[in-house]
Amino acid sequence: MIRIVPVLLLKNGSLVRSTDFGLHRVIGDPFLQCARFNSWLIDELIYLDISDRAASSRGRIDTGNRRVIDASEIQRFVAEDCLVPLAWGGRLRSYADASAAIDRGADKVIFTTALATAQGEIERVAARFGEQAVCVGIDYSMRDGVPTVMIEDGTVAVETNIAAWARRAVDSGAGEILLHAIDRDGTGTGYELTVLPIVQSVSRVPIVLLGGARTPEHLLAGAGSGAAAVAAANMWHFSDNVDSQVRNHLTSNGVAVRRV
Amino acid sequence: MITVLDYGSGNVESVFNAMRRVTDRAVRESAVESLDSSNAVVVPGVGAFPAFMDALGRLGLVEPLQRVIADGMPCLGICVGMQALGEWGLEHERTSGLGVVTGTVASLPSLGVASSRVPHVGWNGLRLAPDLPADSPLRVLTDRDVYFMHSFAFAAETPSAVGWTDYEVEFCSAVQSGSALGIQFHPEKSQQAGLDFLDAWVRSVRSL
Repeated sequence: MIRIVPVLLLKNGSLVRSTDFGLHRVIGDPFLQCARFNSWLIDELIYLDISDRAASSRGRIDTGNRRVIDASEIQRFVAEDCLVPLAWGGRLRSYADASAAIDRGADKVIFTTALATAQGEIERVAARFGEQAVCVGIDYSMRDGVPTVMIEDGTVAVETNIAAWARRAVDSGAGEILLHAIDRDGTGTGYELTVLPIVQSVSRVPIVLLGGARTPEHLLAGAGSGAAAVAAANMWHFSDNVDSQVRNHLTSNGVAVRRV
Repeated sequence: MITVLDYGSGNVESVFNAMRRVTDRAVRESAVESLDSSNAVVVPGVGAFPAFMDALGRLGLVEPLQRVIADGMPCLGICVGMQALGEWGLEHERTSGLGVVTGTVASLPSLGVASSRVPHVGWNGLRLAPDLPADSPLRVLTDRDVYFMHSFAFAAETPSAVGWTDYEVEFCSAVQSGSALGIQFHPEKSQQAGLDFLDAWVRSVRSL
């Protein structure tokens, strides 16, 4: 059964959408969006904190002029009322970071850059909380036809053997891999599907696809590729029954979705 | 009063918040005194079985829990909280649980999950025991999926099994022994199906 997973990008206190993985437009308030997703027929939520500063203060009218001190406040608020599994990622570099996120209610934590810089910390988190609580994000960009693993928000190339990187993730205790084709971000051209089989062949953990999906047809292609879950960022925000459209499209094409 | 056992980490908060949506009698406590004065107890658990039993032990909760369950207090064990009702067996390592049910938790691959992704993460359903009472809270889950997130489980042939889930092979996803009900899935993460289950369990507590 495929999992349908919206991804919410949090930047300096606001929800944003990305275009070309680096440009972000503010689209909304993380507090309001989470309540909305509680009533949507989606299967999990991923929040990625892509802030470039740890603290931000806000005074927008639609938040009742709430002042947000830092992302941890958002984390706690989001998790408090979230009735589907919640994965939190971005800026997690240590056991302490992950433990704090889990204490605030995240069911899973997503480590991406930390696989390069703090592998031991990931192992500690998995040992303490179980591998099902640990997801490792693998961001990759095609360079001369080679899927190249990137870290630090897609700015630093770290590995050209993506299979080896996936093995490293699993050996560190990852119970899931978020496979993210960053070239596709914001393009709406559908998932990159050639790398998934490579990663699947070297690990037994579920793999979540991310990058480029904008339509129910894209999610169907992702489901058909054998991924465990199809994640998408931008597509949820600009109309009101995207969840039903996606579920109907999958069901009518023979893909099992969650029975509600 | 329904105590959500606060063993210090993980999903206690989520379980407590979900309980608060269906009842105003839930409290979040780790004190033995609170347990003794409760009408029911929810035992949430994530992570590793041995670590969970360690946490319960450090809080002095193992014997009190065993006692109140033996006295007939309704108890809902969730995920590792369910597994802790039995015992843990992993190759050469065995950890005692609460001993409420006869069952040994094993890894999914050792139970026969050979080609599916592990951990088992995602939504799935339950097949219920035919002789399950009509008012069992599990019945609200007929033809609905709930969320699983685990690498270990009780085998299908576990005595006291009242529900099974198919993930390449069938494993036991719900156990019942006396007033203790254990579930492998996470009702606090199963949107409306989960809330309906918790609501049904709370109502079953009232009638006991």
